[in-house]
Amino acid sequence: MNNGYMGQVLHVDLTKRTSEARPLDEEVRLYIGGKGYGARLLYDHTEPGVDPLGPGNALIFGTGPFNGSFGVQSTRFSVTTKSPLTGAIGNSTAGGDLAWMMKRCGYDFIVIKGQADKPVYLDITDEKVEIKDAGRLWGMGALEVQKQFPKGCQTAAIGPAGENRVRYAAILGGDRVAGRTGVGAVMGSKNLKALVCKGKKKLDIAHPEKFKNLNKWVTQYFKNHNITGNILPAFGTANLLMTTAGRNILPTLNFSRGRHRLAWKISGEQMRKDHLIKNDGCTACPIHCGRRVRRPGPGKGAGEPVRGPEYETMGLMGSNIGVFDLPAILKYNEMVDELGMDSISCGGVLGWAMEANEKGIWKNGLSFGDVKAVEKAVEDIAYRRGIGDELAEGVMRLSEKYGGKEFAIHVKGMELPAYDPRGCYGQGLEYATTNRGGCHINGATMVFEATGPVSVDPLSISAKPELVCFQQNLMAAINSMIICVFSSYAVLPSLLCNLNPQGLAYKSIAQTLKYSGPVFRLVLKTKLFAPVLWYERYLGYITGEKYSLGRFTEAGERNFNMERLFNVREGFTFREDTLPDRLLNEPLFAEQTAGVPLSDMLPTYYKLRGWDEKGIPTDKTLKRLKIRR
Amino acid sequence: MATFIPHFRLANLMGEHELHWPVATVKELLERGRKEYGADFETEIKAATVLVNGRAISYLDGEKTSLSDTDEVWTVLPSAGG
Repeated sequence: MNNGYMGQVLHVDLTKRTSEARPLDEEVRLYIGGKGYGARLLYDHTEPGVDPLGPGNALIFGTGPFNGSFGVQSTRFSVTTKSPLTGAIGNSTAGGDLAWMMKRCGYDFIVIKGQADKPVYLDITDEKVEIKDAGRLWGMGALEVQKQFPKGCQTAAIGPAGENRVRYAAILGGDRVAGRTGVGAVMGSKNLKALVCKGKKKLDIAHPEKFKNLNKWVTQYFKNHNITGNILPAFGTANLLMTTAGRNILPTLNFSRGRHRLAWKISGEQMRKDHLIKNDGCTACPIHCGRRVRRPGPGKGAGEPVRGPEYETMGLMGSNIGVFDLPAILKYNEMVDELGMDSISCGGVLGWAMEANEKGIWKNGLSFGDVKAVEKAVEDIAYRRGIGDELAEGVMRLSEKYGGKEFAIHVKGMELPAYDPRGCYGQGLEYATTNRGGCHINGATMVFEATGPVSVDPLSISAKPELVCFQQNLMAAINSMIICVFSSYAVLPSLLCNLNPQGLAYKSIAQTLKYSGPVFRLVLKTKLFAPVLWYERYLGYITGEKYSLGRFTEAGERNFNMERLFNVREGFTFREDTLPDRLLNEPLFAEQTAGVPLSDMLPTYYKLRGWDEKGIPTDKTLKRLKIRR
Repeated sequence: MATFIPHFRLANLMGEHELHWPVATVKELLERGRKEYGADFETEIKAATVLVNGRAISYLDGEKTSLSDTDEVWTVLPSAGG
């Protein structure tokens, strides 16, 4: 294989301490790569019912044909595994520079199985693979440990949370976080501290000149776009916070409310005003949405530059736990990164525990807004000390043990991100159906309902199943290529940001979107046979194959169904396609008598997906998508 | 007294992140803002969605939407991230 693919999968068995490079199957082209083909590999290389934290589970680092090309936002990697948090498919993607270095070593995927008898790290130099002792590295923070390797290497590592198998532990690639679904706990269960890559191979590109010209155009286009060139670079992802608060969808006090008057105190704008040193970001990305902020003082290292929090951290470890103290959130952010865990799940767990404490269900000493207690709890979780040992299990398991399921905010066991779906029904459907559980990034429907430049009525179900299907397919393809999902913001015309939301043009567009269901159905059914967006053009120029928007989104549909098939194999049914009781039954807006009308959307969604009434992909659907069982 | 929570840029212009005004409708609130803060206020409002208790006024009675003491009026700008 060439043109976008290095043509090899590295298989590592940590129990036997062996490794073997095998050819990458041509079948990858159906899935593109990354997250999609990661699901295929996971299905093929694990037994049904495999213990997520046992040696039989596979931890799969993935890349796509776009990675290594140095196209815009081309440095993301994916991790796929069976999640110890949910028991469903687990995956996460992150920036950093690991992906292109994996390919420079000659590998598109690395499949890691088994369990080392003592701590190790995987050292890959060019194609040479060594399993090395990590005794002196064990116990180090996820950022600290990566500084131990020579310059020029690209790394991914876990912190103490991963070592201690916290069910929502993360893997950090540089300082970017593959946070969701507990991929770090799987790495820890294998006694694998880090993956270190250094190589010199180059990626073949079929049409380098065309690629170069396109890349130049996309870079400039992103820079000129209001969202990718202005809003995100200026304020980071936390620019969302005042918007979600205003729209009543900011998780507040464990999703019991949707807004708070003090939201401005923890906004991206406030962070820029008081703490920002500069914005930064991944290699080959013109957006630079990352924040470099001054470490708040007093104390050791006060004023030194540290990575600033993303919106999700501000929401879940801020308003959701009653903390409107920005320096405190900056501190939490630094802690969760170094300890190596997902701030979304961590904030979700703490929110549930605080409400459980308040209601007397579980007396644990945690109260909303108790800044210092949170700091201690975060550390205790990572080291599984005291109540931390229980908090490390996640909301689902805690509510099964103590009760309080009605306010346990999770889907399929994964804690929800910072968008209350009672104020964006499509996002609710997306949460309920996304294969990895409560996730916002595998569809991002809230962009069209609440946060983006034009919003379709968030409290209507009209066109929502169609929109969710299309978005899930598109995002699955994007995460398989792999390019950052923020690139999709630039698909929306920049001009939309300049419309007066109370004006006629805006209202007309919003109204049209409400009735766009049939158009989306047509797009989902007929497929477009021409390249429309930069995604298909990039892939066409890299691989030399014919790529159209139809082929791209169909690959996304295939990938989504492949993940679903894995979940079906692991015993998941339509019963898990649901939302927490609070979000289904408790109204949040004056005009509501209940929460998200999920049951009004699910049947249409299943039909659009080509699934039976129990939510299982039909044989016809699998055949159409060329998915083998 | 309805509560007005302006978006950050507008709050900077107004010098407050939270205001309590004795107004009966959204229209009265906007008129008061225009009167006190002039053209800059108008520019900011044209760029923002006006919401009452989280619901855009375009889904309520527009500027005629009535306000009670417990109501919160927010303005928000297009945003992005995740």
